Amino acid sequence: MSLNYPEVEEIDLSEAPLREATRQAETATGKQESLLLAIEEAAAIKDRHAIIALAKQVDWRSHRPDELIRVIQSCLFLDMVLLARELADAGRRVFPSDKKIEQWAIVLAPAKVIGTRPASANAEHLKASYQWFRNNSTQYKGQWVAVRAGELVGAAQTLKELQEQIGQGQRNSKTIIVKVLI
Amino acid sequence: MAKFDAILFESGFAIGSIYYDDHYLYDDRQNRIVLTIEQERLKNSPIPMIVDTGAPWSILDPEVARVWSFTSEVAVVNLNIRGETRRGRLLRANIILEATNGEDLTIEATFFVPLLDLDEVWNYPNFLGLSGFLDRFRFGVDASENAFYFGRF
Repeated sequence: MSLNYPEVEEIDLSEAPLREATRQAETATGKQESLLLAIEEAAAIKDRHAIIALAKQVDWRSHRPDELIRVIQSCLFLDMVLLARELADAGRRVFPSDKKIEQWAIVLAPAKVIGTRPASANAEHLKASYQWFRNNSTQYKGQWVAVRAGELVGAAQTLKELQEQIGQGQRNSKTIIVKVLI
Repeated sequence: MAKFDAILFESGFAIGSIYYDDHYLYDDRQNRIVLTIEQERLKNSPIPMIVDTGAPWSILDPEVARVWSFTSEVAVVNLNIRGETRRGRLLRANIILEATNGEDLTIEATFFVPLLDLDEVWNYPNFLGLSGFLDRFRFGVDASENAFYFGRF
């Protein structure tokens, strides 16, 4: 009895194709690493246009989440909030299970209107309180003060002390709390 | 009631308006738009914040941040705050833009809270900046009667 083996394609056992694939991969990796270095250099000289152009070329799948976060931080330092937001969103897609990237995407997301409720402020109370601040707050420089409808409710050195002083009953939407700047 | 409440509410431009202060506390050297902002969850008292469309971030006094609750945060980030490099955290919170007429608006927004050195005292007002706050709702100002109108997109 003879066994029939299926024919198999001849395999090139020479190392040439492997070397070529490795070289291409190394080139691609090297290019990606160079891009990050170039972004860092552009950030150092505050070249925002270069950062935008370079960031578009980065394939974040070739990088670690912490590298992406570093670029996001550089963008934020240069007030490039929109790019930082785009990068955080891209990071969310590339690293879906990374908690830090998720946090960045959340804090950099645009503001979101959640809901409405009937108006809670009283214009006359506000006017009276603003007037009190204008006339009297210089006496409380460096302190936290609570004012309700134009009347002082309390003053203290720290916000925590003030909250304890005025109690839960006065901590509501009618009482404005502010630190009087020195 | 502000002069343009009816027309702006009816047209859908705004859902609420509030009387704002045009100076921050006793400082009458500069005109400002000062609104009162309340944090949603803790039902704390509102705090005055200055509207600053030129500022990328809303900035919150670290002492206020200690009593507010936040839905999310990132640890440390360096930001350029008025020409000065400050380290701090970016925090996400639900806040209420109070109205004197119409409706209050609850907004999920991001705040920068500076980290202070050991003996450092934060001596700056709270600001409402563009990114993560003012850029995502509609607003208009009538300086003739200190009315700040706001609405959702």
